[in-house]
Amino acid sequence: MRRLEQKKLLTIITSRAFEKIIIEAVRMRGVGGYTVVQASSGAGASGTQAGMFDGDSNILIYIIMSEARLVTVLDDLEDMMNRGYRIKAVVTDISILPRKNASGASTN
Amino acid sequence: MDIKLFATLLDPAILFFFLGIFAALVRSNLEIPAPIAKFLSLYLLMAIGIKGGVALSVSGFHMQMLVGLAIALFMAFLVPLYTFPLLRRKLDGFNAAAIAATYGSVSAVTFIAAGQFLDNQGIEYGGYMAVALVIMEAPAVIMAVGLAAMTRASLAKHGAGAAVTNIGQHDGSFSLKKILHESFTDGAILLLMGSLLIGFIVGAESYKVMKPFTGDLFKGLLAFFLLEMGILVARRIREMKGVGPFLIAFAFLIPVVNAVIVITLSHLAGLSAGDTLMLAVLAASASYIVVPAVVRVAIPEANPGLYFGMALALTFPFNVVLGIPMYYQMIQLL
Repeated sequence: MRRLEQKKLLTIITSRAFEKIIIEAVRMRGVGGYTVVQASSGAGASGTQAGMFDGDSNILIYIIMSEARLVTVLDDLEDMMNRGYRIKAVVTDISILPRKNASGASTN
Repeated sequence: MDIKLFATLLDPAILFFFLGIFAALVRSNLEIPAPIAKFLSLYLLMAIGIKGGVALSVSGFHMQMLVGLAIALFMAFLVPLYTFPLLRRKLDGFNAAAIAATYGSVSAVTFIAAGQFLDNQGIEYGGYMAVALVIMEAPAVIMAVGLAAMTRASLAKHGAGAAVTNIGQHDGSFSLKKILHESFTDGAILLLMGSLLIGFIVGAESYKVMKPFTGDLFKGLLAFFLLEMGILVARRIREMKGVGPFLIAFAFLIPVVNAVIVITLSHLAGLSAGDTLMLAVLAASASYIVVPAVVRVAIPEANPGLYFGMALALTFPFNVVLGIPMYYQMIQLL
């Protein structure tokens, strides 16, 4: 069995309206892979998110990356939050079964 | 309001809207899955677009059309211009700009409801009204983003720490080009413009092929869509309790003021009753589809609960239930 690799899972909960801008920002930091999931509904400081229009739909963006890259991405997210963007960023330590052996390159 | 106008409240689509409100108020589990509701909204835009395009191909381009579009464009600039200073009395610059943009822009669903109202009355309106809807979408957002940028610059000038410095840097990141791109490539607007063009190209004869889908099913699917809108409105109304009397009054009075301005201008310009009502409804409506999505990115400092909630939970039901027949009554009085 391949050795498990230690990575960080960044989960971003935000409005669908921010999807493009966040994806653009993380791509600039060298992130190549991510998964976006549409939330069926939710609520928060912006009120009910019914999931019908872009303005009231939440998404979850999942990104797996190294700790070094995570730091740069979190800097960007913090900057966006300072500007007023409503973003929740959750970081989790994870172990993943890599696509290649430990000696090979990882995806992110 | 005469009996005929009161009967508009007994329109099946409006009654389904009330049913949606009732379902949400009694906390029923009735809901339309979001993808289906989204399909319904796209269907309605396609149907009105193609119908408008066909009507345009029949009527051709005429002076009345240019006058109508000029009034539409004038209102798109005027509304944010006069509502912003009004809103600044009670709100910060960002929320004032966001609400001004929302009310300067338009609601396609209210427009569709007005079209249905005119159909029920047997009154025609120009196909170019779909063009008016499209051109009224962007100007208010552009102006609001400018006003928000001025607010940022003012805050930065008075120095309020690192956050403001960052906000200042944000000014250039949402350019005019980007706003126009977001406004005109938004799926709803693109579909509407595309359908309008297709309707114009194919003309009345070829439209017959599409009519069973875009014409005959329209009323039933509109009713189904308004059921979902009723549910959404009722859920949002609960959150409007903390908004305060000023914004509640704003959400109900500004649409009437805008409608009165348009009715006066259209009357002076000699536009038909149908065109006048559609323009009045466009000016009276507030956007809750395109603008909130753009403003959320362009003016992130503003609270979406305010501008989105006011447009959807207060102004939309007001216009659909009371506003449209009331504006029509005003037109009849002139």
